[in-house]
Amino acid sequence: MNKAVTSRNRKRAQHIQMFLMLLPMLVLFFLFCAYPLIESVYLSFMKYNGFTDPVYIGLDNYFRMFRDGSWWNAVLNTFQLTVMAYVIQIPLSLLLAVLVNSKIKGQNFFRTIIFLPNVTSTAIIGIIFFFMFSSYNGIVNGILINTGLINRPVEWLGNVFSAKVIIILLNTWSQVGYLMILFLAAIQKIPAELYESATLDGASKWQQFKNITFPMLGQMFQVISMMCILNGFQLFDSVKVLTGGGPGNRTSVMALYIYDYFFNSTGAQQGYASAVSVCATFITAAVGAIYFLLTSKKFGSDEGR
Amino acid sequence: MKKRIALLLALSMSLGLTACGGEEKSEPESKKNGESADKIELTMWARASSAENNQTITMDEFNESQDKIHVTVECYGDNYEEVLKLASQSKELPDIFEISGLGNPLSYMEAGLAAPMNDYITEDLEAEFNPSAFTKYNIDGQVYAIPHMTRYIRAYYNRDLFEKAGLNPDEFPATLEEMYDAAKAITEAGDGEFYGFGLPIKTGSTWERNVDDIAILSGLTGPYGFDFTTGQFDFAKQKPIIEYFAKMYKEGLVMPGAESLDIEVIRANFIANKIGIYFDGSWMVNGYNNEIEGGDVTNWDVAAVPVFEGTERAKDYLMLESGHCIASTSEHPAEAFEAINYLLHNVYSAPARKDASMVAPSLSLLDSVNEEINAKEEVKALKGSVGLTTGTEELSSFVVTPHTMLTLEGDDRDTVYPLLIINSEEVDIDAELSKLSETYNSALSNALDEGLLEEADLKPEGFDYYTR
Repeated sequence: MNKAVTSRNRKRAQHIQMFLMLLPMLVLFFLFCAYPLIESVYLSFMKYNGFTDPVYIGLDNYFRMFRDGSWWNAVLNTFQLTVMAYVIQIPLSLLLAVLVNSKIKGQNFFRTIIFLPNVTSTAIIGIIFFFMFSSYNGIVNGILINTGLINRPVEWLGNVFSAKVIIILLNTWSQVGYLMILFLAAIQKIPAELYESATLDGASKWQQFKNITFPMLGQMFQVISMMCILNGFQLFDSVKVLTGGGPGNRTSVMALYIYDYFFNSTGAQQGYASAVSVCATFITAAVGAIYFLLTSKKFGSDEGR
Repeated sequence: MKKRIALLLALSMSLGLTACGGEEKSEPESKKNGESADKIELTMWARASSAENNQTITMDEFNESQDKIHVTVECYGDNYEEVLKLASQSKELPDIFEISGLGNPLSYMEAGLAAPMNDYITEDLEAEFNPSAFTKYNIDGQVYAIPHMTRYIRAYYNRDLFEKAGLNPDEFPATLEEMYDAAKAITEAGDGEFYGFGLPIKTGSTWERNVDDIAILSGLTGPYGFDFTTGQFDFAKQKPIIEYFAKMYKEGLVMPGAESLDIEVIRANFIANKIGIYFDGSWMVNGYNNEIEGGDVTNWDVAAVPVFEGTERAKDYLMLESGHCIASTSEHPAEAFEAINYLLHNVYSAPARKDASMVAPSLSLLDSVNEEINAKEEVKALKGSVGLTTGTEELSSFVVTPHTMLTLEGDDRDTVYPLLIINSEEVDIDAELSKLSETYNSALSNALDEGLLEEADLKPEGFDYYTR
């Protein structure tokens, strides 16, 4: 009896200890994650410009959102840019990972060079790309004009199509190194014996990749892909710096659209921005869930390995 | 030895501490003066970027002119509105805050952040000013700010580039068709070195300065496509003007990079002899003569904005976005008004009194001030003064600017117009303009329902753009 009480007390003490250790993290979580989330759901039912008292308007913000063509255009752009980023970045980073993993000279040099853009802030990369592609005094136009290929600067960022291409280019350049490192870590976990026996059986490099490397990446591939997709949905800084969503919101993405309404200096609509951001959260969560559902069947068997 | 080092360290640390303490105790010069003379301390926030500007100079003069009140001016530059918003949320507004640089000044007044001035406005003061000064920031009969500056748009052009293109710099084009020809001639003569026209598409106010101004001068619409004859927004009426700029853009007469350039870059390029013509505010005559480096070297001039051939010219668009509010939280509203009143009367003359080389044409809303300053020989001799001078009778403001009172549910004009200029070939301009009018008119009817606007103000009886 006495023993049982002591053990219960000890357990409780342990729980308190655990709770105390978690407390700083929990405080930060509630302060910077949970509270803003609840607040933005609350604001999404309000008409609120940021400094006068919020007025309750029910679901009006949500009804408006469904009619708002520009918002859905921003959603479409986000999907477009994410899909394009995925299609380009995943194969490219995997290829680079395989290449820098093979026994080539200056292996570490290439790894560093490819990873380097990732340590630079996206906003700064955005500004650099802006200076490169800006039609006024831009480096790219300067080179093209000096080589005589064009005689008048090209409006790279004014054209919707070329602006999107530049956004994808920027993101690929800044992201691919990071994805490569993750793939590299996954590849290096694959037992070397598998490759040795495959080599003995006379399998070519391509066969080794197809039948050993790719299948053995398993869940890592799923996780890396997921990261790539979520990165796409969070796209903001590069678009903000390069085009600001223009011309005419044609290159805007979800996060930028929310930002524009929330922080607009001439007439912020924080209630509407909150409703839209609730929708954006659902879209992102839904895409993540669908992706996991679709891929877990394929990669699920790896779990038992 | 160790002891000695320890002693030295302790000594240096305590010295350091006393030094810090001394710094903390010392107070700004202004405050010290204020306390010693037992003055009432007021704080004023301004939009200006540089610490020495018309307002700080005038307030310095005010502080010296009497021994009752001392005003400290704090300038916040580009961050001004953000700072002011934060301060209004935490109820820490200064006694006086400037209106210029705020997206929608009326929203601050409606939120109860400004105190009404009616008690301090004397009949003499009212008689001195253009009546529109008391209607601009008037809500339900209460005046919350008095504009002091007449702002209007002028065409700025480079005389040297006109000559290089074989044009007569003494005759600025009187019609938009001629201005197109001039821009073309300058661009051709420039051959990639300089261009005919500067259009800062990135700056929101570009459309007010370029499209709205021509529309108002042509009697088509008021600001932001609002038609005071119908009481509705009608952006379709601005179509010919949009197409005019789209054509210039498409044919490369506009300096490249327009879509990502803001007005500051355009100004810098204008002064660097890279832009033939561009539209800017009347205040830039002072800006180029006194503030912007190189502005006194470049051979620039000012002329009236042209209209299309065969269009009868209506009155110039008088913009009144200036003035100061007394914060409703201020403990000394009467003294704050005294300071504002001094500013209203002296903001154009004080800088010249302080530094005789800082002459600038006066843009005061007080005719008496303008007459006094603009008659001076050194002002008349200033660059741009001739093209600038306009009798106030040729200028007219609009009682209401409805677009500032709207909560839009859709893209605003400043988002859509760049598309119509840059991607003119791909978009259906009629459809875009009609969608824009729909967005604005639906927000307008909401604002009317909420009582933010009065039907009678939107469609004044017998309104005419030519006689308004």
